[in-house]
Amino acid sequence: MNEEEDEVNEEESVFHKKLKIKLKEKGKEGRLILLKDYLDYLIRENRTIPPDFPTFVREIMGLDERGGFIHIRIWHENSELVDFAKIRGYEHKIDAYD
Amino acid sequence: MIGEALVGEEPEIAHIDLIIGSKKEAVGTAFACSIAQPRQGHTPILGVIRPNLPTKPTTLIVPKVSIRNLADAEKMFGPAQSAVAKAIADAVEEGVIPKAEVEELAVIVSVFIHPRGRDYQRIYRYNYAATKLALSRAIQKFPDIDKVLEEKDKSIHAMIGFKMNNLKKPPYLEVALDIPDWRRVEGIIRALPRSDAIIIEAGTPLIKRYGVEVVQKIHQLRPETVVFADLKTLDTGNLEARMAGDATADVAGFSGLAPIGTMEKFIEECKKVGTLSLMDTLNVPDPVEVLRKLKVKPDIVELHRAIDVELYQNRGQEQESEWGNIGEVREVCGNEVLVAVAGGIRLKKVKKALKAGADIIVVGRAITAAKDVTGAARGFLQQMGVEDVDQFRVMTDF
Repeated sequence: MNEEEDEVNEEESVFHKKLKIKLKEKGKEGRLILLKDYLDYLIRENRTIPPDFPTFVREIMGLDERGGFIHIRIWHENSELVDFAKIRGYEHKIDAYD
Repeated sequence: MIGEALVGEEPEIAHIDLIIGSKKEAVGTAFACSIAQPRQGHTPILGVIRPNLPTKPTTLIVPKVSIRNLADAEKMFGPAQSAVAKAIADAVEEGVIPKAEVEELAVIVSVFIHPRGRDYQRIYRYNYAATKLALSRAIQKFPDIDKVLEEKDKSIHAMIGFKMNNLKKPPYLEVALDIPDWRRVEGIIRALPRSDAIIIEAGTPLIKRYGVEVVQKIHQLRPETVVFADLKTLDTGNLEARMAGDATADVAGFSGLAPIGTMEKFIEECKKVGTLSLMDTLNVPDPVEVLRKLKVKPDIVELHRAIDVELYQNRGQEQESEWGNIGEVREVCGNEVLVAVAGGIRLKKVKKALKAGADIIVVGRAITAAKDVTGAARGFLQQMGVEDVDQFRVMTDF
């Protein structure tokens, strides 16, 4: 096998998923509640604030709402966001990316 | 003679520190001083099996946690006192302490009782067992120094949940996370197998995007894993090394292209903050020459394939491997350096790299972009001949 053949095809190898999480209220208010809840969860659980938190805030505020759910990219079913959704009682499901 | 033992479950868990020795020597002096100078909340008491029946050898019990109220006092003066006294007497009966010597000896036992401990049965049983274990360990001079040296890098302290890994047992697999997307990085970290042989590299793009604090977040996900902050420092060596140390990096990297003074300051600062230093030789024409000039040497030197190949070809010298003369790097560092090799390493190259003398194999996309991150990392570990995980072993008994 030569070096080229041995290369990993990044397009094929992406393994990300989406966390579909139902907002507790519709619209902007629902997103603000989610973000406040998430921050509250991180602080109370003594977790370091994720380094992408400012980007995450922008992402949440800009995501489309589909039947009351927003779809967040994750790369592992045990991610911190999934823990948060479980612990804080958010209706959620994890799907493969389409 | 000194012994220690931890027995049981929280909140009644027993932790005993114990000294046994001649009444005529230091233990006797400490015994007398302690009983004559009680301190508030830590009043020493004689070990009695029941009131009016002190144990032999004479034993002094010292509470480790301040006694704040009657409930605390009852636990200490009841089940704990009785358990310790009974354990000492039983040790005589069982021959652990020679019966003929009991009048010559004194014992001081420091007892921990958690204020939330409620169950007297458990307090009694745990403290009895821990005292006997600590006593037999004291008599046997356990652990011997070979056991300490063998275990010091393997064990996790039960109250901390992680350990310092000083990279004393190569080979290691360094997984380079150069992807500047935290959620993707989190997914990769969670998918990596938990092995002592894995080092997680917070790559330069990741650090540039989120700051060196990203190391703390990685440590929150994997407290037991060595995290390398690839700063590639070129200036302000001591400042950047301190920043990496404050961010809990186990290893911090500087560029071999930096001024000699910067590199030396970086290495010195790393020593101060308890972080290992790594010299990255990317684009360095002659890493060995740079290492020769350094008054203090880094703990790790990372060699990059392409540059070294060019260098040795240009010099017309015979090279040991495609990563350069690893032996020469070791020699100039007094053979007290780990050598990492980087640059397009795939599974089939692992054995070649190890044979060339590499201690650390740096792998990026072959793992981080794999569909099955866990399987890809396991594949590399297997090629490296690394045994399965032992990092969750909590040695509380032997």
